[in-house]
Formats: sequence, C-alpha cells, structure tokens
Amino acid sequence: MNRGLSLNNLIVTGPAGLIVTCMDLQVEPGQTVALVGESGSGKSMTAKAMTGLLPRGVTATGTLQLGEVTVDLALGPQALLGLRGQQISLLLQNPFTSLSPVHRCGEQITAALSPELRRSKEEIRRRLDEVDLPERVARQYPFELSGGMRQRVALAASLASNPQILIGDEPTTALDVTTQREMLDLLERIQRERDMALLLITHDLGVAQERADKILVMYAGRLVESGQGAEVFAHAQHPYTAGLRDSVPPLEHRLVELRAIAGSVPRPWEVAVGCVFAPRCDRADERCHNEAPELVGTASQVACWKPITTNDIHLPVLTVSDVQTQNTDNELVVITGISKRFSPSAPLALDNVDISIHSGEAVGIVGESGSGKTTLARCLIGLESFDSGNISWSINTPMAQRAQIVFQDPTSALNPAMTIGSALAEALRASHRDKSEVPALLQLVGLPAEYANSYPSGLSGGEQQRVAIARSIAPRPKLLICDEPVSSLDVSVQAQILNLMNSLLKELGIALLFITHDLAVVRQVVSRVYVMSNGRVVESGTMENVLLSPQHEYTRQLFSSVARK
Amino acid sequence: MDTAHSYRRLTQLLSRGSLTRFVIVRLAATGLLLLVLSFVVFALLHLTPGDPARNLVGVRNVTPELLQSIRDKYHLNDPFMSQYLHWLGNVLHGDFGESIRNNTTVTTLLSDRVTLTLQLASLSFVLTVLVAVPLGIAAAWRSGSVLDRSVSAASIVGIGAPTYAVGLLLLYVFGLWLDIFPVYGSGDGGLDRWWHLVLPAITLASGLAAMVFKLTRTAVIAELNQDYVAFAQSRGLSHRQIRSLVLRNAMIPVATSLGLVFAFLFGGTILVEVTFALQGIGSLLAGSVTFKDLPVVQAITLLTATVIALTALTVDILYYLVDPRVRKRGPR
Repeated sequence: MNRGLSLNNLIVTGPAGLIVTCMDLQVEPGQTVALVGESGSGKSMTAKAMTGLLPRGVTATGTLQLGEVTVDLALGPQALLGLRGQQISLLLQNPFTSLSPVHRCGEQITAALSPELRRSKEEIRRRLDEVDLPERVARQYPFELSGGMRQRVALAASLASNPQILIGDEPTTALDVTTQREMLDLLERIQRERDMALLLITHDLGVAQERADKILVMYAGRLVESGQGAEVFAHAQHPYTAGLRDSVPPLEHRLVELRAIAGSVPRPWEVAVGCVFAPRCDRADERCHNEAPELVGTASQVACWKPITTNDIHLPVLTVSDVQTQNTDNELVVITGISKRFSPSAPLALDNVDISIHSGEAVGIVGESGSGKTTLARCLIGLESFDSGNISWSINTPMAQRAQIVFQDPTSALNPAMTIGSALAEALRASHRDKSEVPALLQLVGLPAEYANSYPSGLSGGEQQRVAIARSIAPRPKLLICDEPVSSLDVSVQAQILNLMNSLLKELGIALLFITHDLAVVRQVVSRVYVMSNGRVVESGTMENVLLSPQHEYTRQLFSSVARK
Repeated sequence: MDTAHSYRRLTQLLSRGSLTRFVIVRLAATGLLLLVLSFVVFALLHLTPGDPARNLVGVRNVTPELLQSIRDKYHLNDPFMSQYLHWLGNVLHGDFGESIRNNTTVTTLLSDRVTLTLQLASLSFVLTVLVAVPLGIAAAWRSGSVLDRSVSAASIVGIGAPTYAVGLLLLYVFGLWLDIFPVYGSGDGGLDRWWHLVLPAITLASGLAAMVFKLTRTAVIAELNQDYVAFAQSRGLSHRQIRSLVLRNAMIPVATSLGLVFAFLFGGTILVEVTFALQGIGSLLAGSVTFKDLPVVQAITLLTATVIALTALTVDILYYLVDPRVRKRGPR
C-alpha cells in the first residue's frame, strides 16, 4: 500500500495573480523532504493548499494523492474533510498562537480523538510521553509553558489522529537555538517510530541540509531546483541556490564581504515572462529574460538555461582574521553593575551586568530570548529604567547624539503615514541639521535618492531596514545599537544588511552594539562579544577566543546547537 | 488537630489564584471605591453654592427657626468629617434623609422607582444579549454573506437613530396603529408591568443591540483569524469543536462590552422613561436636579455608582472563570 504524498501540478492563484506555479512534489513514508525558500517564495501557500487552509480569495488547482486517496484541490477545502488530521496534518510556526490560550493542553491534544479516548488518562499520558512531556502538562494552559514545550504540545495535537503525512511549516523558527535542535531531534525520532512522511518547510538552509533526505528550492512561486540532501547546496546548479548558499554567514570564519544577491524577491505575479530569477542573476542573457526554463533532470532537477557546472570557476572566499580590539583606554560608555527587576515576583531581568564599549568598536551581545540582552540595550539608550548600577558616558552631548537604536522589525519601526524623506528629515531636525542631507543619507545606506518620496509600504523589508538605519545614523551618534537587525529578514537580504553595516562602521567610525541570538551573524560584524544568559553576562572576550575555546557551559551549548542543527 | 485542619482549609481557600481570594480582594476594592464615591457625593451638598441649610429647604420660604431646626437635624454645625460619618451611618442603614420636593423619605420615594428602572434595564439587557450576541456570532462566521451585510446595515441604523425617535416610532406603530402594546404608564404590577415595559425595553435595546452586535462580530472575526483556528482545522476537528474553541476566546471581549452596556442601561433610561411616561429613577433624577432636591440626587448618584461597581465586579469574576491567565495572575 502506498502511504506517501504526491502533489501534482499545483497552481495557487490569489487576487493579484499567480502565487504558486506548476508545483510537483513527492514524499515517501519515512522520508523527510525540505521545501526551502525565502519569504514570498510560495512555500507556505503550498502547505496551506495541501491542507485546504488557503485564505479567502485564494484558490488552488491540481491533484493531491494521499495514500490511496486522490483529491482534486480545485474542489476546495471540502475535498479534504475527513482527511485532515487522519491522513495529513500541519504543524504551524508559532507555538504562542497555534494553541487556544483558554483551553488546557490535555484537552487540545485529544480534541480530535473519540469521546472515550478523550477521557482516558492513559491515552493522554501516552500522547504526552511520546513528545517527552510530563503528565502535569495535560492540566496546564499554554501560557504556563515555554515556547519549546508549547510546540511539543502542538506536535502531540497534530499527531492525535495518527496522520501518515506531517507538514511542518517552519516548526522550529520561533524557538531558541538550543530548543530548536531538541525539537528537530524529537520530530526525527517520531517520524522514524511512526514511519511517517515529513515535509519540512523552512527558510533555514542549515536545518534543511542537516535533516532532509531531499531538498526542493522554491523562488517566487516556482520550483527552481531539487536534489538529494546536502548535494543541492554543495553542487548548486541554479544561480539562486548558489547565491542563497553563499549568503549564509559562516560561523567558522569572518568574511571580508558576504556574497549577497542583489535586489529582493519579486512577487510571483509580477514576473511576466522569462526566468523568475533573471532580474537578479549575473549570468542571465537575453533568453533568460524572454523564455521561462522548465524543470529538467532526473536525480536532481534544475530550472535554468545556464546552470552552474563543475567547469565554472568558483571564486575563492576571502576571509579575514577577526579584527582585534585596539587596546585603547578610549572608553565611550561603561556600564557597571546594572540590575533590573520588572516586578517584585519576577526573576532579575539584569543581574549585575558590566559592559564597556570603546569609541569606534563593534561589540556583540549574544543570548537567547529572555537572556536580558534587549533590556540591557533599552536601559543603555534610556527607554527603560534600571534599579541599581551605573552607566557612564565619556561624552557630554545630548542623548540623541550619543546613541541611536535600530529595531528588529523595520515595518513597525517606521511610521506608515510618513514618507521616507520626511522621516529622515525629522531625525535630522531633532539634531539641528538640515533636511538637505536626506539624499546623502539615503546614498549612505545604498538607496536611490528618489526613495525620499515613497512610503514605507512601497519598500521591501530589506529596504525598510536600510531606511531605519539611515534614520538612526542621521543625528551622527557615537554609538549605534542594533537589536536583532537582521532576524526578520531573508537570508539574501540579511547578507546585504550585514555588508552595509560593516561599510558604515568603516566609513563613519562609530561604535556598534550588535544584539543577536545568532552567533554566525555577529561573527561577521563584531570584534568583541558578551554572552548573556538569565540576565547575567556569562562570558566575554574577543570573538575568536570565545568561539575557539568557549569557557562557560551555556556558551558551549549555544555553540554546539548552531554548529550542528 | 481540628484547628490545624480548619487553618489549612482557610489557607487553601485564600491561596493565590483561588476564587474566594479573588472575590474578597475585588469586593474590598469595590467597597473602597464606593466609600470614596460616597465622600464625593456627600461633599456635593457643601460644594453647592449657598447655605447648606437653605439648599436643604429648596425654594420654599423659611423662617430663621425652621433653618435652625434643619441645622440641628442635619448636624450642620458639626465639623465636616463628623457630619459625613453621621450621614454615612444613616446611608448604610438605608436612610438618605428626606426629599425636599415631596414630604417623604428618599427611601420610600426611590423604592418603587428603582424596581421599575431595574426591571426596564434588565429586560432590555436580556433582549440585547439574546438578539445581538447570536447575530454577531452568525454574521462573523459567514462574514460577507447576505445575513452579515443586512444585519450590519441594520445595526448602523440602530446606532444612528436617536432613542426618542425610535420610541415614538414604536409607540405609533405598535401602540396606536396596531394597538398591541400600551402607550404609557407602568401597569398594575405583575405581568402587566412587564407588558408595559416591552416597548420601552425594545427602544432602549435597539441602539445597544447594534453596538453589541458589532463588538461581538469583530471579536469573533478576530478569533477566527487566529492561528489556533487554522491549526484546529488542519487537525480535522469538527465544526462544533472549532466553534467552541472560538467562542470561549471571543467571550472575553464580549463580556467586557456587556458589562458596559448594563452600566449604561441603568443610568441611561431617562429618555425612554420620559417618552413612555414611566416613573423610574431617570425621570426622578431629572426632576430632582431641576428642583435642587439634593438628598434625592445624592441617593440616585450613589445607587447608580453601586450598580456600575457591582457590574464591574461581575465582569471581573466572569473573566476569572473564562480566562485562566487572569486566574493565575490574580486580581490586578
């Protein structure tokens, strides 16, 4: 009996046009297939189409073979009733929103079972045990659990009716790095035990390479390349796959410059003729712009007129040793013994933290969510008060010219009702400078001067983050604080922003405090790093020393979970 | 042994997050709020310009002897705080003093009228909930459907139409033209009372139901767009199960709005009472303000505040029962 999944000729159409074009994929029982792509590639829409969860106004055509059953997707969600949960189940990205906040976990896990089984304590215990959760979780509410535990509850719930196919839509993206690995291990174990087909949708190339038997790469609603496991990236044939691979910052060394792909992912319906990647491809010729390539090949497939072959010269990657801190006494700001508690019953958010930043130095703070890194940044810039300790600046200028901050999500950091130009002019005015500097500011962050008249909504995520950076450097601060500045961006755009930050540091000579959970990202920018855990600085030193010989147990754990997902 | 047991039982009852503790803490807070309000209400007498004793006799002609007797009766020569405590003591025993306009005690004057207004408010509250909440849920579930669009359009009329206009229209159609319902007065008690209250209650409910409908619809739509609904669908949960997930979550904002509606109803019956010639507290308050009948104004103000505070308390307890997050965090 065939128990796998086969999707044929899936086409998803939205109000604006095509979202996914001619998508085929097969997953065998016991096999893990990773669907990789940046935002807007159509990978989540593919998952939604397969489970009948497309948003209103979006329709799909194509056939879905689930074991012995063939479903015509054009019939809409009704065609999948009775199959969802039983045959195919979907695990969502965010464990904080995918469970009802006012229902107990046990109740949510067993909701899909028969009424007799639902009442059985033994059944609930067995279900929780499968995902390594203690029995008490059954009586708890989601808000009482950590993100990792919530995602385990969600996994147990999605497996309740014993589906043969599980789709994980970024199931570990919202989790901390150390929890991420545990979750992936758990998924792998359960998949093996149940001999289940697993379709893993992810933007994380590391996860895909480590966990998948087969990888499919999507770009702007189309499948551009597929192949066996890590081979897809090691011997990338499609220029996009190669670009994506090269955009990922390595943990092992620091690069002079990341190889970013210029531009940003187009919306699928905006691509009229030719290859979808042609506008961003440095290999593209006239044919690429006029004729769409078909997916060809047997073991590995690629949709490209000019695929990369082994004969192509592979440019060597230029690495540099991490910049050593000039041992000057020129300290810009010194934080001594800062402590902070948000409420009397809460644990210390900051516990006696000491940090110093020299003029013109790039310093990183690495830690997981809840480690206190963001609170520290907010205290430093005056957005948050602290209970005890001291922050002493060596300069006497107004706060706006001492430090500025760039946040994680540029979309919510920019006022949607204000043009880029007026947002920048406002920042300039705050430090008594003239708005005539707006074009120069835009140029500094690599944007054309015409963008001054656009609104944030007309810009891509990466462009918005460039504007946010321009706005922060407008008052000419001595210190730029960046709180997870690239974590909401796609890999190829992340590389662009990291390159931009490095060039800005060189050009402006300002100091940088880079806050992130990602060791590989911070390695590409800073020379010295502090590692935070539970409100304390557990380790500090030059980037090289910390990575080569991590002293603290937490740092080692963080390091190993990044090194092998 | 026995004391140890009852002590344990007591600590258990009062443990963090228990319902008893929650209710006690909220009751204490409500009591404190009312105490502060009573002080403000009492101060009204002294904030009103002029001699308090003269204010208490109203517009009647007075002899110096009468004024003196009023001063003695209300202890107006005592220090302010002692006057307040005296007044508060009486209020706690149900004694608000005597009405200036009618020569009866405020308590007798109010008792009938409070009953009527409470009946009117309750009836229109029940009507509002029974009509608006189910319609809101149905419209959200099939948003964009004919049902949704027609009820949404009707609710705009409901919100926009002034109460007195709706009242007059209903009076004309059901009272005069079709002659189903009585056109004025509050009936002879029992069922006849309720029969007289139907039209006024519908009048009051029309605007509120429209508001509650919109709030319910918005709350349910917001919940329907949550990830947990998509997740429930992908796991193959039945329509009924998903509806119960959504409604339990949507209840939280809806309960808040219903609390507001009841509080508003109790204090907002005046236009309807005037239109339908009902002897409720709304019309009494209007008259008393005009005649500077201070004891009555004080009593009605304090009474309305109490009803509003008790409604808020009920909503809080409802929150406690529906939302486990409130249960763990305890009262704010």
